[in-house]
Amino acid sequence: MMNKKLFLIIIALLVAGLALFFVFKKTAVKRDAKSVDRALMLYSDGDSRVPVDIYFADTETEKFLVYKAEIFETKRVENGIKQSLLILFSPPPQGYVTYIPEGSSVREVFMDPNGICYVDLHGSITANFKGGTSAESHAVYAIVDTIMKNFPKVNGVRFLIDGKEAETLAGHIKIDGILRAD
Amino acid sequence: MKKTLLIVLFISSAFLCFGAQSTMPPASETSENTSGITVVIDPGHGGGEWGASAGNIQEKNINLKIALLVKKKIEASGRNVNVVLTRKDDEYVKVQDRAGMANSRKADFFVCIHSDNLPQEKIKGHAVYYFYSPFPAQGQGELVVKWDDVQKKHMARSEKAAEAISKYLSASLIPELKGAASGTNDVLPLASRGVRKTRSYCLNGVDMPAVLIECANINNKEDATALKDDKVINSIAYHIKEGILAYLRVK
Ligand SMILES: [Zn+2]
Repeated sequence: MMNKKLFLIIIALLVAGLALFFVFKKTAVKRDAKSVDRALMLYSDGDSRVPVDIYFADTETEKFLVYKAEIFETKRVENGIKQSLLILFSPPPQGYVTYIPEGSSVREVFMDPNGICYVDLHGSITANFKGGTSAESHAVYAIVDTIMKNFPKVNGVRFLIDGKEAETLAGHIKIDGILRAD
Repeated sequence: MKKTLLIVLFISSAFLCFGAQSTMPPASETSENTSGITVVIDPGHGGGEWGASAGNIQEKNINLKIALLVKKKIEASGRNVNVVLTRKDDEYVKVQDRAGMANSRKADFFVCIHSDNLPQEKIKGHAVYYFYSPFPAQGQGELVVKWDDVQKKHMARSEKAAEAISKYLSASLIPELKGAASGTNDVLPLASRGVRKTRSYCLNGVDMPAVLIECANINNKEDATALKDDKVINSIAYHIKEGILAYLRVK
């Protein structure tokens, strides 16, 4: 009798666990504004916020669709760029799509004395990229535009992948040299 | 009498020429000499490099299928154009080696065949790219040419070629399919997304006019279904062949 009860409890717990697992698995790719906010705070110098334009894309055409977001104010340009790229690299809000593959991330951002912004991407962006020339070109310029149109001190963008200058993002578009917003 | 005969001959040949100019003539039906010309057809990706993918579609396989057909159709056109493929089966070939094959043969035209996967499911069709870099071409006329600029020297002609291929890819003109079992003699390839320029990694270092064709958006259901249809693949290959021959004729 006791054993049967225990057995039922275990089964119920297993079912509940599985249900929770699938619910979380399904919502995992959804936008989690709170966790993005917490990540942004790591690069902030206080609580006040400033607006930024994030270059997501339209759901029906290839055109960029600017998403009006806010980042925390910071004295360091690099930290402002890091916050903006955190938003660009997170799942897009409803009504927008992104050219950046899911799970991609920025390793580091730094500026040189000539105003060139170095963006060091994690190598997973190359492995996870599923698109061709158009998609790859848009992905590159989503990053370049998000940086250059929000941070006028930046005079050009150079890409690194896993700390090294890369010739291409995922095999279709050349990303060596200095890139500037269209 | 002789004079009258000459005038009649002149007028009738003028009429014949005028008739042949109607709308868009199949490039393969004109007979300008293209012998001694080499075209390199480059099916993108291969082997472990799939290129774009969606569901069970792998870009590398579609690229190869189309490229093999384009070669066959150019050779069957009787135009004496030498066609070289950068890969004939499912193997990985470095982008630099593909450019090298074309450069060492001193080819006249380089055509990359690819397909895209855009996040927007509603976007469909083909786009034809030529190389663009924001930096001015250096070294023209000098002994040392900065290699990154080598494709830039050919930008104007590559643009012209891209326009020719885009124009033919958008045309509804498939005489080869006339009388086919299905009765379809007018399978349009796919919608057109136009001619574009970009910092193409695949065209970089190619020392001749070069274009890259994105045949379709495999993330679009209609495009994906169309690419599984041999009639559509045949139609895409036919129009690419026509565009190539049209460009070679006028270049
Ligand atoms: Zn490709």
